[in-house]
Amino acid sequence: MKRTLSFLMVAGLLLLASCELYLDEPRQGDVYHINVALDYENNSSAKDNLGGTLNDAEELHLALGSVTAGAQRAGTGYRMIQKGSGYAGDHIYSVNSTLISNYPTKSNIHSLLTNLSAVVQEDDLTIFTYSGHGVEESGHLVLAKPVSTVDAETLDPTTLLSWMAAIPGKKLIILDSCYSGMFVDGSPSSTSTVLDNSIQKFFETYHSSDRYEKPDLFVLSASAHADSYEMNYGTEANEHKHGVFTYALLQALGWKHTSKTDPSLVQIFSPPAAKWGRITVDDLFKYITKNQVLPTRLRLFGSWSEYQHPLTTGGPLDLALFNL
Amino acid sequence: MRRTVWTFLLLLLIFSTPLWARGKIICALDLSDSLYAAIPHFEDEIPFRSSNATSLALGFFGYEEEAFSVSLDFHALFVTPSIPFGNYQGRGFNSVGFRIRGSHQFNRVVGLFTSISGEVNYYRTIKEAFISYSVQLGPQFRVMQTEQHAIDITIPVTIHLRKEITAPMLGVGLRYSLAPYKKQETL
Repeated sequence: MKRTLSFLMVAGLLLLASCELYLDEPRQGDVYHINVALDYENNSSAKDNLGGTLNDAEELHLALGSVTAGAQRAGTGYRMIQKGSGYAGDHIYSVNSTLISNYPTKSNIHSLLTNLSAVVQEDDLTIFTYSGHGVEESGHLVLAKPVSTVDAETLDPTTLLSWMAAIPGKKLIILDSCYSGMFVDGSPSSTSTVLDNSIQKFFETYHSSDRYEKPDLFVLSASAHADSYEMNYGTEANEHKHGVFTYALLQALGWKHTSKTDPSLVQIFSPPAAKWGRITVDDLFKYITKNQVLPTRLRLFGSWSEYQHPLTTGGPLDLALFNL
Repeated sequence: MRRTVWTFLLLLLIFSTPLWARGKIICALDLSDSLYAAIPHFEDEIPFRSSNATSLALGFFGYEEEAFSVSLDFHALFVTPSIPFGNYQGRGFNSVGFRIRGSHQFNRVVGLFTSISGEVNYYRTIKEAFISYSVQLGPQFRVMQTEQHAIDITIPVTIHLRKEITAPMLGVGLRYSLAPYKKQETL
């Protein structure tokens, strides 16, 4: 009896020693989300058209809004959409007293993010999502052509990361595009075994002079250094496409496709990715890798010839997104 | 390289033979549970983040004399994600590595043990790996001993040395030692 009591006392003391239990948590502020999607139907070639990207952005816009409301935080969403054959958006946003078209050219996205940086506070969360093409090997995002006579603009990882880094508070970039893993900076303290699985690299990382700093910008990408795919989740007659990664992400956020076509009819449930009333980047990552239709690596006897492995920002810390 | 290893093993075998006459070969199973306090080397919201660490070690090659023992252990550690706090949470990871452990018994009950180890760690969710080193020290209390078996309660105090974090761990554990070969009485 005495021994049990002593053990319980020691265990209790250890628990009380955890400073998480008696310090006040920092306040979580507002949520801003920017959902960028392009179907590329205004390009000269029909070969590169994407049928699921607009669904991705529309439904992520609603799902993130719903989770934000569930977390009792104020939310503002911006849809940057290139749809059909035109070269203009269908909405004008006013951000920091600047009028910005929702047509996703490089300059419009830059303007939106720059003006947001003047509005967003230190305790806010900004989520940027992109559904579209990524350039092979470099991962550059393929944005909308400003006019028909010029080539499509691309956005490189360094530039997007620097635009997002300038926004105060916590930031998350979610990319559903080919080679989007190029946007994930290597951690100075750990090595991704998806990209490099040598023990020599582990030692090099440990003994390198690069210092780990607590990141306020996280990236969650659909694929590491390979293609990403979209699929039809509806029927042959009633097609409803999504990116494989985004479909699993929507499910992680509690989105269920009871209706395949009308987003307003879709029911939103308690996010299954949440653990202990919280959703973190790792929770989303874990849910997606477990539940996406395609495997995360090529299997010798698997039924799929394609695979895609999501990637996220490494290191010892995970970013908490929502307290539900 | 392979020749060097074989030469080393042969020399170890030759020079350890006289030791066998004095002491005994032991195997051991070591289980402990600790509070894992990750003190960051970077600026964080709190002084340290708390996790639970469960350690399992298998000493497949050990040597024990009357009051002294040394062993080479295979060592595994399972660290949970930290208690959520603020905008961040410490990631959970698993470790595997080898450690050299030594102990000295002051009397029939009380002893002191120490170990050093190197590990490869793996963040389970995001599939990232990193290496680390650990040093350990603590008292051990022998609760049972026969000629072949011994059980100790241990209070391991461990310092886990990661690149960006130093993590002291305090816990309780149980160590079971088995001497599979009975020592021959000499005339």
